[in-house]
Amino acid sequence: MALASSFHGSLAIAISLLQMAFVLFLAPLLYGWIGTVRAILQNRSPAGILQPWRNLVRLFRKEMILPEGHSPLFLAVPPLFFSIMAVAALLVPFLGTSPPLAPVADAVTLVGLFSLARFSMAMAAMDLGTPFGDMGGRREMMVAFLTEPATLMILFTVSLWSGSTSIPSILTSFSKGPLPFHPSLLIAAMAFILVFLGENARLPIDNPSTHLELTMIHEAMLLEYSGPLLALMEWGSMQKLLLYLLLGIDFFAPAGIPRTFALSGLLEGGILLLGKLFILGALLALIESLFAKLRIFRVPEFTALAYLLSTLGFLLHFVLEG
Amino acid sequence: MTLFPSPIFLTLAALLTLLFTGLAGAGVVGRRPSLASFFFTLLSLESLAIALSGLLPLVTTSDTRLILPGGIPGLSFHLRLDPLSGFFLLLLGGASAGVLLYSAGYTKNEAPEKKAQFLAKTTVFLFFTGGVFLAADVYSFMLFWEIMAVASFFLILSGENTEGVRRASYLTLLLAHGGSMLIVTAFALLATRELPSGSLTMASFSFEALKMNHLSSGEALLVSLLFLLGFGAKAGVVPLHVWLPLAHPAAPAPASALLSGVMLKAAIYGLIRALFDLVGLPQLAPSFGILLLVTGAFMALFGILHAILQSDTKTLLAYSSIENIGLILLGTGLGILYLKTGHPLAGTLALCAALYHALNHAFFKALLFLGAGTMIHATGETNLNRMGGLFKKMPVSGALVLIAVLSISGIPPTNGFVSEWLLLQSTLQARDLLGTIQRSAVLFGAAILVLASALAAMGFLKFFGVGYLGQPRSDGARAAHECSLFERLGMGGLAMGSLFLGLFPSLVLGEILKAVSPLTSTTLPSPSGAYGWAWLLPLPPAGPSTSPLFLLLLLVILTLPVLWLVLGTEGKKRRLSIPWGCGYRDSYRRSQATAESFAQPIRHFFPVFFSMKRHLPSPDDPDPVFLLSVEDPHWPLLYRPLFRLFVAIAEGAERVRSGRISIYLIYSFTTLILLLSVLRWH
Repeated sequence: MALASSFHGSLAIAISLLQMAFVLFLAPLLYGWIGTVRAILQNRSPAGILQPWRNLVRLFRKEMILPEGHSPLFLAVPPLFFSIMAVAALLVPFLGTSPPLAPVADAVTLVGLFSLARFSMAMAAMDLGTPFGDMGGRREMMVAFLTEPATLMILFTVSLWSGSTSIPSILTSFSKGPLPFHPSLLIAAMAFILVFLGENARLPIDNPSTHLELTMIHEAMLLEYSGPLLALMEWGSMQKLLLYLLLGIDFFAPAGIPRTFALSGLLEGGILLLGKLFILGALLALIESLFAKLRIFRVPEFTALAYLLSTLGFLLHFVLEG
Repeated sequence: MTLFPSPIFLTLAALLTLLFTGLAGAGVVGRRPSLASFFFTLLSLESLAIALSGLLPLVTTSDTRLILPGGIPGLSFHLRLDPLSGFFLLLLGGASAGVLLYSAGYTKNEAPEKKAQFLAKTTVFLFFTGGVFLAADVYSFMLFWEIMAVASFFLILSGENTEGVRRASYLTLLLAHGGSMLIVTAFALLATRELPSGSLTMASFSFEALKMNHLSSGEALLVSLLFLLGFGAKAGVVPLHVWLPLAHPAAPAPASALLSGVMLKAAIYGLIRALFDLVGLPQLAPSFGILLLVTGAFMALFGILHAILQSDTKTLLAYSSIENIGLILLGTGLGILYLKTGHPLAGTLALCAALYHALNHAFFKALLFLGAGTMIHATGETNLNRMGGLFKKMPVSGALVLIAVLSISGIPPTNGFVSEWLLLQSTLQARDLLGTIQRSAVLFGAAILVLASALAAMGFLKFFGVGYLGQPRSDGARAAHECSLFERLGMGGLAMGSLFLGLFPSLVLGEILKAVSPLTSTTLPSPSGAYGWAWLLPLPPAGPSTSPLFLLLLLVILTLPVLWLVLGTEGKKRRLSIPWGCGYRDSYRRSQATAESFAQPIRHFFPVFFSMKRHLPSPDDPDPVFLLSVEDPHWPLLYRPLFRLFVAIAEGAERVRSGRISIYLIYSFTTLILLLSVLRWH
C-alpha cells in the first residue's frame, strides 16, 4: 500500500533498478579503493581500484571445479547469497531517503536478511564436512552471535527518535534540522564501527587477504568454491560491505541524502555520497593497517564490547535524553 | 445461526469423535495391525476438524457456553468456547494433524499392541488437552488438566522401558502434581475473595463466579505468583524445568512433538486465562508484568545456551523449548506491563506477539521433533555426533526440517521471524513508558531477546550442520534412508502450516487479535488499502512494516535467473575434484566439526550458566584422561540438596514409627485433642 501511494509502477522499478545497479557496480570499486589505500599505507604498489572487477570477470570466465560429494545446497547458496545482497540494495536508502521498496522491510527485517545470508553461507561451508569449511562456518556464527544483536540494538537506538524501525522514517526524523549532540548516538556509532568490522570479516576480526589456516573465518567458508560460484560469493560480500557503509552513512552522517528522486538532487546527492564512501573507505584501510588481527579466542570479547556499547547507547537515550 | 449448531457443540463433537475413533482404533489395531495407518489418517483429519472448529469462534468472534450435567453436587460441568479457547484449539488441531499423520509411518514397525497403546494414549491426551481449553469451572478444569498430565506421563513411558525413561516420566508427574497443588490453592484463594463474601458454595468455583473476586493488591500478587509457579511447572519455567530436558528425549518422536508443541501451550493457555480472565486485568500489578518479563528473558537465554551445549538431538530441542516458552512469557509480561501503565495498544501488540509465537512454536517445534524422529530412525543413533550427511540421503525430510530450522532461528521470511519481529516491535514501544525501572526492564528484555535469537541461529546451524550436512559419522548414518511417505506427509503438513504463518502474517494477526482484544478491551487498527493481507503493519499508518511474502518473491525473482545463468547453461565447463582435506583424502571425515566444537566458545563465554567439571591431564600423566561434564546448575545447586533434605526429613520421621500400637493410639488421641481445641478456639 505504501508502495502504491508514493511511486507509480515504472518509476518505482526504474529507481529500484538504478539502486541495484549502483551497488552492483560500485561495490567492487570500493573494495579496490580500500585495497589501494591499504597498499599505499603499507608501502606496497597498489593494483588499482579496478582490480576486484578484473578478478570477478576472470572468475566468471573460469571453469567450475566442484568438490566431490556436494549436495544441491552447495550450488544453490552462492546465487542466493548474491541475490540477498542485491535485494538488500533495494531496501537501504542512499539515492533518496525513501526507496520505493523500503516498506517491504524495516531495519529489523534487513538484519534478518543479512542473517539469512550468513546462515546459508555457513550451511554451504559445512556441506562437505571439510575441516576448514566447518571451522569457518562455526567461527562465523561465533562472531555473529554478538554482532547481530549489537546491530539490532544500534538500529533500535537510532529508531528511538522516530519511534519506528522503518528506515525511511528514521532518516526523516534525523533530517528535521541539525541534530544536537546526542551521547547515545555517539556510543551507537562506536558500536557500529565494531560491528561493521566483525560482520564484514575485516581486521582485527578476520583478515580478508589471508589464507592462513588457523585464523581465517570468511575465506575458510569459501575454500571449496571456484569460478563463477566463487565470483558470486565474492561479489555478494563486496556488496555487503558497501551496504553496511551505506547504513552507517544513513544513520550517523545522513546530511545530503535527497528527500525526493529528482534528477538534480540525484546528481548532487550522488557526488556527496561518493565523497563519503571515498573517505570511509580510506578510514577503513587506515584502521586495518593500524591494528593486528586478534587471537580468535579474543574475538568474542571484541564483539561483546560492541553488544554492550550498543545496549549502553540504548539505555543512555532513556536516561539522558528521554 | 439457528441453522447451525452452536460452535461449542461442533468442537465437542469433533473432540469426542477423535476420542472414540482413537479408542476404537486401539481396539481394532491390536487384532488387525494393517489398519493402523487408516486410523492415524482418520485421526489426522479429525484433528483438522478440531482446528476448524477452533477457527470458528475466532472468525465469528462468538462466545458460546454449555453446562453439562455431571460433575460434583452443586457444580455441573461448565464449558465455554470463546475466541481464546478457539485459538488454542486451532493450535492443538493444526499441530496434532501433522503429528498423527506422521505417526502412521513412524509406528509402522512397532508391535501391534504398541501401536494400539499409542493410538489410545495420544487421543486421550489430545481429548483432555482440548477439554482444558474448554473448561469453565475449577472442577472440570482440574479434572481435564490432571488427566492430561497423567496421559503425558504415559506418553513419555511409551518409549523404551529403561531406567532413564521411568525416571523422566516420574519426575514429570511429580512436578506436574506439585504445580497442580499450587493451581488449586490459587483457585481456592480466588474463590474465597468473591462478592458477596462469606457465602462460599460449590457454585462459586465456576470461572464466571471467580471473575467477581475482589482481591487486594497483595493477594492478587500472591495468586498471580501461585498461578505462575503452578502452570510454570508444566510449561517448563526455570527452575521448574528440570523434567523437560529429560522427558522430551525419553518419549517417542510424535509424543515429544505433542508434549512440546501442544502441552506446553496448554500451560500458557492456563496462565493467560487465569491472569487476564480470572484474576482480571484491573487486579494485576505492573510489577508482576516486570517479573514475568524478566523470568521470560532469563529463560530464553538459559534455554538457548543449554540447547547449544547439547549433543543429543532431542535434548537440544527440549532446551530450545525452554527458550521459546521464555519468549512467550516475555511477551505476556510485556503486555501486562504496558496494559497496566496505560498503553493498551502496545500491550495488545505484545500479547498478540506472545500468542503468535506460541502458535509458531507449536508448528515448527513439532516439525523439528518429528524430524529428529526420522533422523533417529534412519541412523539408529540419538547423538548428533554420530549422524551427518543426512541431507543427501533424506533430501525431502531434510528440506522440511530446514524450514523449521530457519524458522526457529528467526530468519525471514519464516514464521519464527514474524513473531520475533512483533515481539521486538512491542519492546520498542517502551519509549512511551515512564519510570526508569520499567524502561530498563523492557530494554533488558529487548537486549536478551535479540541475543537469544542470534544464539538460536547458532544452535540450529549446529543441529542442521552436524546432523544433516558434512559426511556420515557412523555406520548408521552411512546406511540412512529417506523416511516413509506418511512421515514426509505429516512433516510436510506442518511445514506448510509454518510457511503460511510466515507469509500471511496479517491474516493470522487479525485472527489472533480477536482472541486478545476481549482480554485487553483494545483492538489494533487494521491495515487498509490494496494488498493489505500481504503486509505486516501492526501500528498503521506510520509504524514499521514488513512483508515476508514480497521479500520471498524478490529473492526468488533474483535467485532463479542467477542460478540459471551460472549453472543452467551447457557451455560452462564443470568438473568434479577432491575437496581440500588438509592433504588427506578421506580421513578428514573424522576431523569434522562436532556438536561440542560449536558449544566450546559458548561454554567459555557464559560460564555462569553451567555447572562444569573439567579434568585436564598433566603433561607427564602416564594414563591421560580428558574429562568434561556439563550439567544444568539447577541439579547440583537446587534439586539434589532438596532431595537430600527430603530424605533426611523422612528418615527423621521414621523414628516416630515404633511399630507399637499403643504409641499409635496416643498419636491419634493427641491429634484429636489438638483438633478439637483448635475448633473450640475458633
